[in-house]
Amino acid sequence: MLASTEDTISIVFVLLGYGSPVFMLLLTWLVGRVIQRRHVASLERREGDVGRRIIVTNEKRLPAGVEATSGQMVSASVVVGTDYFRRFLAAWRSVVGGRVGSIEPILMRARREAILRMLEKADGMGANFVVNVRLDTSTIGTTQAGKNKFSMCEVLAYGTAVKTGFEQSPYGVTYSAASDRT
Amino acid sequence: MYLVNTETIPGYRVTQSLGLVQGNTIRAKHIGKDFMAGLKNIVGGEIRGYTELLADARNEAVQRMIQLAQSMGANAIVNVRFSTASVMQAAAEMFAYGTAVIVEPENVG
Repeated sequence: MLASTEDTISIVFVLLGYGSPVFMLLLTWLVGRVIQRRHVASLERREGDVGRRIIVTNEKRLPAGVEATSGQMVSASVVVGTDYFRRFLAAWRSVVGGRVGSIEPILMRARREAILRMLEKADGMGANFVVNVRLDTSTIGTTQAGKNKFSMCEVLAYGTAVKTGFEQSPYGVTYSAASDRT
Repeated sequence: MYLVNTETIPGYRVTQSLGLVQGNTIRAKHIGKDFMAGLKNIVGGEIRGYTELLADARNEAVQRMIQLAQSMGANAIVNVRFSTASVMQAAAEMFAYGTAVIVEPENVG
């Protein structure tokens, strides 16, 4: 199986640190931060690009007055896991209870990624409007290394891509992701 | 075959509704991909092997749904929905369902 450079580098790091919990925590904290920062930067760049051309709504039909000639379904998904450090924090949090702040950004990033991939597909089809967007999150089982509670999660986004006569949004706003950035 | 998850297709008129069509597939985990996922789950981030695996599985469920609709003589499926369920520790079911319909283009002008 082909692995990306990012995957390879992180796996080499992990093998170096395997067996020493303190070293693992430090390492996964650092690597996790780098991955997150790069992902958020990529999300923001693509949202600014595709988001300017496509309007997304989860309403069932096009707004009144907007004409379209046809539609086609687009869907995209992403599977994410968490790092050792975040699971460690989450395990502590589940002892005392409360908001699990370390896992929240993982799922929000996954959702933004899934929506973006869907939009990029719609963009490739020449559509400029995606209606009736649905989001679905599901747990897909634990991995070999998943001794901790959080397993992998899949986020699926799907909707109907249509080509409308509108160049600009009838709502007066273009797509932007959830306000709480990570 | 038109596939949309809205109730109608813009520019087309539903002339006949043929009823519910569905398709599913159950996939077990892949040993090689699971090993990579196990390592990737230590540092976090996207698990690409699984993203592809699940996208393939979902595509197959959709194809089965389309076959069923074709055998009914439909030319479109509206209101498509997806659902995912963990049926065992190491397997997931992908399920797609929608309404098979016959559509024809609206007379323009």
